[in-house]
Amino acid sequence: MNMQEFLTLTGIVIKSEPIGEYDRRVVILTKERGKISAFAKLARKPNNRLMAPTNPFSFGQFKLYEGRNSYSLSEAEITNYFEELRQDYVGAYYGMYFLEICDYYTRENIDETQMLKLLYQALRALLSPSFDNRLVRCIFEIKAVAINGEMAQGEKIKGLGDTAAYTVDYIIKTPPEKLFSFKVSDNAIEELRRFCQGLCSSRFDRKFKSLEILENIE
Amino acid sequence: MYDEEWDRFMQTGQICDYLAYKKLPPMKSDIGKSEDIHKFEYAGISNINRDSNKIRADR
Repeated sequence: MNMQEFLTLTGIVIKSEPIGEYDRRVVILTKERGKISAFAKLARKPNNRLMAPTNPFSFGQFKLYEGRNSYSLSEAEITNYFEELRQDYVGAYYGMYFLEICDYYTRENIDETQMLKLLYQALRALLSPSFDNRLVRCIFEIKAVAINGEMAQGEKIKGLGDTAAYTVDYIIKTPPEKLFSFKVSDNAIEELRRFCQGLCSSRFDRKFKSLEILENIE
Repeated sequence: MYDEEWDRFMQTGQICDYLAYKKLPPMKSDIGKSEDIHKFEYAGISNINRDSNKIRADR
């Protein structure tokens, strides 16, 4: 007999794709179970309660049944849809880029709390008029690489000026929830961008669709 | 909250789908907060004598 477990997970939808006529498959980055995939039956049927919560960027509590081979989404209580990202296509592409990086790095049944926090704070920073999106991106890229143990010792200062080197060090050492709290000059941002370009090209073994578009429109 | 055009844009990532969602023609100038970014005085992140945790965004 198959016993189904019912559980509630906190997370963000990082990917969503249509299945059949009315269903969806969603990928959720969760605090408790890492990155999971869940089936959302009838989520694309008009007025279905899962229609909005299964959109990417939806953050909240997801009630799921754990079957033998997969999860099924039953309900969701969303506290933040990050709907304002829809108002600015540049912001939307940044957000999509961050989702792609999360999808790239995270795994199931691994503690991905840090990546979840980083993603949540970065999306909030994208919506803040005080933050330059370029800096938000640099912070996200550097921190994501560092969280996943791919920042080589000493790499952070190689070839960088004092400001950029200090900033990289600060990003690596600061918890995600406190990261998006500073500004630097435009010159420093440009130096960080060059550093991040080299960092990402050496770390990521695939191209990100949203980044290709983002670099053409910025 | 749900919008079919937005759903399509999230699937394809294509600008044309975003424009279909917004029902707007292409904008040549920067949009969104990129126009609102002001040049801030250097925040001094590399000033190690200053507590960087006191630097806060004006949210």
